[in-house]
Amino acid sequence: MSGFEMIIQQSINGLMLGMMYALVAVGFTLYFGVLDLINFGHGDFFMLGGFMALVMYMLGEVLGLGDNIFMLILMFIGSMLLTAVVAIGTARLAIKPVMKAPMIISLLVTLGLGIAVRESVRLLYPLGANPQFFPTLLPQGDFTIGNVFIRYENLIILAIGILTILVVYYIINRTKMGSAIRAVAQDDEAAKMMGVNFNRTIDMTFLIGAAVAAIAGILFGLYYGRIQFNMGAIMGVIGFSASVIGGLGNVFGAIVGGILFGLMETLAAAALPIGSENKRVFAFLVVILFLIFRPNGILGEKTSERV
Amino acid sequence: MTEIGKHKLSGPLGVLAVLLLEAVLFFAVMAIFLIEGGWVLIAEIVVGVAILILLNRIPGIKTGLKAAFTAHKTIAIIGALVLLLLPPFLLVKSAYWLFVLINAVMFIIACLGLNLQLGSTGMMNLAGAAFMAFGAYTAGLLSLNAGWPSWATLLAGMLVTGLFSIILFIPVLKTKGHYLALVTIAFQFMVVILVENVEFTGGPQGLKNIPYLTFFGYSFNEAINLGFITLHKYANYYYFVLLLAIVVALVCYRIYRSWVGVTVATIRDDEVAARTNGVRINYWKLVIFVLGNCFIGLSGAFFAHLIGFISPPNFVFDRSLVMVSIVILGGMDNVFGIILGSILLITLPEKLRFIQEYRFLIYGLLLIIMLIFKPKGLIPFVPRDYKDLLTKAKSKLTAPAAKNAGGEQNG
Amino acid sequence: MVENNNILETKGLTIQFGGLVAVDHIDMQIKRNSIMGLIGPNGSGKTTIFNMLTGLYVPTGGDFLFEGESMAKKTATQIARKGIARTFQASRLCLDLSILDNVFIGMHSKQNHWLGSAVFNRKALSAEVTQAHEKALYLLNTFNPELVEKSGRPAGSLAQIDRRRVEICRAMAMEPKLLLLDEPSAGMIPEEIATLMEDIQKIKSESKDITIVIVEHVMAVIKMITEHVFVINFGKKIAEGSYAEVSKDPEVISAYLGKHGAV
Repeated sequence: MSGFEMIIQQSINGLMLGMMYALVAVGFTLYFGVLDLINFGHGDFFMLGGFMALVMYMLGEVLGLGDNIFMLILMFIGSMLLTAVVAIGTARLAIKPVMKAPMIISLLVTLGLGIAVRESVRLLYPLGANPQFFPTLLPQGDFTIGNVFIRYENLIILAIGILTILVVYYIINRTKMGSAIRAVAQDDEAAKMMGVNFNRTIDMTFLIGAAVAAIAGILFGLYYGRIQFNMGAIMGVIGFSASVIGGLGNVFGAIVGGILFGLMETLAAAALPIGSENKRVFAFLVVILFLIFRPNGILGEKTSERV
Repeated sequence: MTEIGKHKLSGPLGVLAVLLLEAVLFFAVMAIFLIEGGWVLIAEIVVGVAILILLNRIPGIKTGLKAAFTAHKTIAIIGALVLLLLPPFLLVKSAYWLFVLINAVMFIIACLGLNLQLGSTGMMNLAGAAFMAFGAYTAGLLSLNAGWPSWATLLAGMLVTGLFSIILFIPVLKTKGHYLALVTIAFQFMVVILVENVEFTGGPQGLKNIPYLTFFGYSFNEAINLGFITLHKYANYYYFVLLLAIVVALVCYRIYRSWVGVTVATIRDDEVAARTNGVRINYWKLVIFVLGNCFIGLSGAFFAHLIGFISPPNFVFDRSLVMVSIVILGGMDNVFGIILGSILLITLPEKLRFIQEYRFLIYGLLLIIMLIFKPKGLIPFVPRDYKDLLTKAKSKLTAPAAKNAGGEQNG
Repeated sequence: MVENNNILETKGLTIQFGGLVAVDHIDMQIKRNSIMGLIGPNGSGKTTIFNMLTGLYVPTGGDFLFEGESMAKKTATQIARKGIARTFQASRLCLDLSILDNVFIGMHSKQNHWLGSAVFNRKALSAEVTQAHEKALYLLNTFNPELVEKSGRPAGSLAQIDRRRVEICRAMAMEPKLLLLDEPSAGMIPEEIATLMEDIQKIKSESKDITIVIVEHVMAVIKMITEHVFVINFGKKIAEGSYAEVSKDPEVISAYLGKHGAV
């Protein structure tokens, strides 16, 4: 395998990972745009999405569905809905009361929410503390281009990711709900005066964010074959990092940031003599450098401090 | 109100009130350790918190007691010191709970450091556990590999942590709010991953057999035999960590009560206002960040010697969260709040083992509920008064003069 | 001689935000020991000028000299330490801190903040606090004797007007050579404005060396206390002179006075 082919091979792996990061990052950027909120519990929506899909799988088995496309559809739709319901519920109960509070309070509330979601899954899911095997539902097999292996799974996951991004893009830019979200992101007071239903917009923001995170959770399960209740914490940090790299508040930026983060991790592991365990150290180092030199991200606009 | 309180509580009655309050507070805290039944304990804490909130609502009582404490300062200090000597005696039968108490006091030191950053200056630091790791590993490595004496390893743990916090020097100055939170979280994860994968830290196995503390021939590994009673060896650690905590608390309290406290509070509340008043923001942020981390590192170094075995799971992100929660729930920028917060948040999860499975869930929910309903913490920040710093002769002159001038203008 | 007489001079002071020129080549001479006015319609760039003069914005062009020294490249902290103090349109007090603490921060550059002395030298600190306390109470008393009584309470407990007074006290605590007041009378009723004007004149008469520049919408204030007025519109200086002079200037009338219909 030539050096170039190895880079391509690693890039494909990085792209898989990056797609999941990107989907998680979309939520961060949406919450921030609409609510000026960083939801540190968002990574746990990702995890919840994976577990809800497993619940749906059990339901599908009860209903007599085999390992087929219908099962997959049931898992996706059911998990997205359930995760979104949990997200909207927690947002109403816990996040709304602290929205006007100092940033540190809302930050800790979301951290607390993450703990609560995580622990609930651990306690309520049968043997929830153990890693859970995720059914293999995507067609197996691979083909090669030169010496580069490409699995069908890779292509499907990529396709689902891109489809999700397109749908999100459509919702935000082409629908009434999307224009309400954009209006609130621009100026919530003005949006309220123009008759935008603020509370509903918040609900919708959490619905989109959580549903997209759930998709990422399911893709993660399908790709790696197992999920664990505590996988949300690090995913949250990475998702937040990715959205910052892209420019907080910018949906497209979040996607770019997520994919960059994924590529950075895998390529660093392959190219740098630091060992694969330390790939994340490198990625985080890049994030910190980014925050120093380009705190508004790649695509974020430069804002001057209001005095 | 103040006048009445002062009058009533200035005589021998005042001495009684001071000592009584101290004793009640002390035994209320000790009860957490001594009570066995979980529900009784929960009842006690609910009552305690209710009383605290009530006391905060009635300003007369507070100022009265405050006046009494100022009037009988020496007695109050002696009383408190005597009470603080008691725990090893009270917990003579349960070394484990003495150990938990030592842990709580150790966290007081770390969280006072964090409070300087987060509570007083408004700098988010979610890498508390990582800085604790610097202190712990420094002390561990120096005593294991170089055979340094205890006093030197503790000091080195503290200073090395301070030095390492300079790594974050530029990011800390350049970012704030959410971004600073992210920088510190990223740093926290980086440190743990590195400690796990670097060889000289022992990797996932960590460092074993870190020597117990020994000061000039006095070993902390021996039980204290007083003739009538034999105290567990942990008593040594308790008295030592208590001494450290008192010194750190005193330093923090004095910082709070000085110009430095006012300056950093202004940075926290309004950086623009601080700058237009000539405050050197970067300088203060750096000083406070390093000093706070020194205390966190000291606490980590002590931890290494206390348990003798450290490994990466001791210093994960959850620990940082616990530290931040202590500062928030106890009361930002309030030394007493931090003390109470540390004792409650370190001890309760241990005590609530009867609901072992659910304790993290309850912890998360409790955090949310507290933040929504009592965001300023159990003992909220109070505006400084400068009573003990004002020279009496002068302040007396000022007050009537001010009133006269006011009268003129009004008339 | 003429140079010496101006405490502040701006030379082509300019700032651009993106494509927008918010302040465009402003030249002003501020005479030492005077009270000057800076007026103009909303959004004309007055506060932006103050933000540049206090180092919060860095000018993109031009310079300003304070006591003959170029300041455009200096930070807000450095400028404050040279002796320029200001208040803000929407007062910027630390609302959780006591009124007293808010005034104390104004004395920041004269305090001894070495950490060691904060922790170990209580005696020196005590002497300093006593002195600062006396000065703060004196200042508060000048503006509103009630503030002396309330000095230990959080600044957030005050009404807007008193907050603005405390902010002026904080600025005065700096013992500035140049004091910039940004709409001190905003939101006040006429009686309060009258007291405020007395207060400002009191500041002026009590300090030997202080120059005041005031941004104001209430023309009565400008008319009564300023000796020289600069009129700004769309970031440009359109007139200057005494109030009587500028109020007759046709360009000013069309840009500003005409719109408000007030003289």
